[in-house]
Amino acid sequence: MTGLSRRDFLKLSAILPAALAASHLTPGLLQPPRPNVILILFDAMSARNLSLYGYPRPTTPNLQRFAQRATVFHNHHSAGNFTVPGTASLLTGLYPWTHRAINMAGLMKRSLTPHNLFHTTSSAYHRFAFSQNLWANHIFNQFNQDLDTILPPDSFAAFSQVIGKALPNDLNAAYRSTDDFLFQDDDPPASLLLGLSERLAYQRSLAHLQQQANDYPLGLPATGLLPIAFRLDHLFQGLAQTLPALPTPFIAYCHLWSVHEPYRPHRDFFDRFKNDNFSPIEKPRHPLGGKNPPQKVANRRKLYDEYIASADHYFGLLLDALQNTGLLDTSYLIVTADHGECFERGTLRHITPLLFEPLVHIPLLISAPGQRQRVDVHTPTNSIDLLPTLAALTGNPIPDWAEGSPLPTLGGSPDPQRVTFSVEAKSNSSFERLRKVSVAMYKGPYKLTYYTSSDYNFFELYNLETDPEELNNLIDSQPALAKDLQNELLRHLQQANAGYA
Amino acid sequence: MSIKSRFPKLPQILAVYAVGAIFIYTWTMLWFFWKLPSWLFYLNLGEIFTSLAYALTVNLFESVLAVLLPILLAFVLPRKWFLETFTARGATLLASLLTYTAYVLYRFPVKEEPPLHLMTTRTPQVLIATALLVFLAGRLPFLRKLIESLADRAIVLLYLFIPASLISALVVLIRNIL
Repeated sequence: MTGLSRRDFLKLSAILPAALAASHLTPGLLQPPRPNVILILFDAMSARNLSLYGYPRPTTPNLQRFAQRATVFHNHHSAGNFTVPGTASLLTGLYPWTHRAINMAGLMKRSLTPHNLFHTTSSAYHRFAFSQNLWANHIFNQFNQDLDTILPPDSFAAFSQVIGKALPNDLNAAYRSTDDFLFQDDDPPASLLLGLSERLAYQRSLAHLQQQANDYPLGLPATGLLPIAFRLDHLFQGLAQTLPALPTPFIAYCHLWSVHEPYRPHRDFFDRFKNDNFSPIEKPRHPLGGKNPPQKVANRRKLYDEYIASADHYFGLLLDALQNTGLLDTSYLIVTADHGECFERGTLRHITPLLFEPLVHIPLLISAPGQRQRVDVHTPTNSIDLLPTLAALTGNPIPDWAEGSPLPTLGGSPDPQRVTFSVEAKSNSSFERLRKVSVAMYKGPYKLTYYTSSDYNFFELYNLETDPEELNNLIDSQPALAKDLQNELLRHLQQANAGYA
Repeated sequence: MSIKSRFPKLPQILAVYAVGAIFIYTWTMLWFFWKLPSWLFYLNLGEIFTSLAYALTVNLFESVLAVLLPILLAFVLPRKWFLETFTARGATLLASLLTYTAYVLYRFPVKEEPPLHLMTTRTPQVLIATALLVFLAGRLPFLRKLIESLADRAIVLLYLFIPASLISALVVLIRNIL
């Protein structure tokens, strides 16, 4: 073996300064490229209705196809049971009792707005957000300082009459004052003269449009909070064209109204599950639940499942498009939901104080750039874990204020003693302590749910491993365990209420 | 006869405008107070007043739009039919039509449920009734004086509505420019 000669040493010495200079000038050549992040959120998609997670109806063949190249989280829960807390927790990494976006159309605590996914992600990223759900828009409009592109909610729509988007410098106030007040849906519009004109124009256009949309037997899919009608094929095609055109690296948050009601499946999926002999397990009514007759609940479930199958079909086309453009090799693709949907115990939809699994058990699939193998994670995770996970995956520090932890296999490791929560508190002022609240606490296989208000106050305890359908309340049969978990839950609730009158 | 003489005088227009404004502003304020308890749950006072500012700005525009209808009728109809009794007939016309509008909106709060059926069946009846009321408002001296007197008194509310709306319009303008 020969040593380094004097001549070699001199040659290396001459090259070294040039190499150092080059490393400063062209960092991209020496560092691995930052991965893109694409987050597709299906509103109101319950994991309990997805064949991906074992549901008997074949609702999600394309999500199952995607799962073959992704990490599938089997025990993932939303921190809230409707859009506002669910979305806010996902985007902030905070529980609803911390960020306080707990009401219908609610907003985050103003002092916490820098605590968000887009702020956490380095400014080297192009930060993009799109939501068809007005309430999600309200929340990410609070982060507009940290967003480079906000697409209007009626992008890719077949028809829309959204007014607030015309005032981009004052988005939240404009949406709230116009679309959610002067021209609101579900209550009479606060504008007497223009309100009537707006309604008549909307109905006339919509009637004309519906006549042409004969591939949607129940009418075009529509958003409930904004006058937007859309076609699933246009929506997913729009995303397939928009995402590859974003400046890289990017983080794109896409909040789709589907599969939120109104459930309007495509003709190819409508009545697909009619007479399929599927009958879900009968469950007793809950004192805080609805009183809908079983047949109505079954009919709504069938439509919901068909709408999921429709959305899944077009998601498959988006997946193919992303594959063809090569984005899947350079991006994390995340599929999740903001909350679930309920079709049991006489209860429909998700506007309820209940926190049973169909309402909070949501899908989570994450495909890493170029991933080819399926990975399954069964430990409990929560929507607040996405922010720290994405911070780590994009090369940013995990903020110390984040209440979640990096997801197992993506920077984190399973913790059997970990405690996570889902919170429903829409009947409270976000500026005061929570008095009428439902809290579900997950620890190991157990789920303890606390329902409290001035009218009721009780706990329910289930072992989700042995009783995933939550039929056997263990609160009386396991008093010692129940007491320990109750104390722990009440301690957390007390901490959350500290500082509020 | 000059074009100007075909138009009602400013005090008459103001009286009719005030009647229309009462309906338009009151309707908005009703729904504002309907929303207020839920807004107080998650909006601070500044955010609530901002929504009110947007609403009052739109109200100003709507009320101006509303008063154009009786002015137009005064212009195109024979003087005796409308112009000579502009305050009574214009105020009656606006009150009747705006009440009907409020009824339609109240009955059909959901956008996808069309009030078209109701409007096609009821609107001819309402228009006939309105025409009759407008006729009587100018024809019966007692009714005419009563309506004129009420409309004149309604003008006092414009001292509240118009400045509030102008300040609101300024707020909306500033928020969207800055």
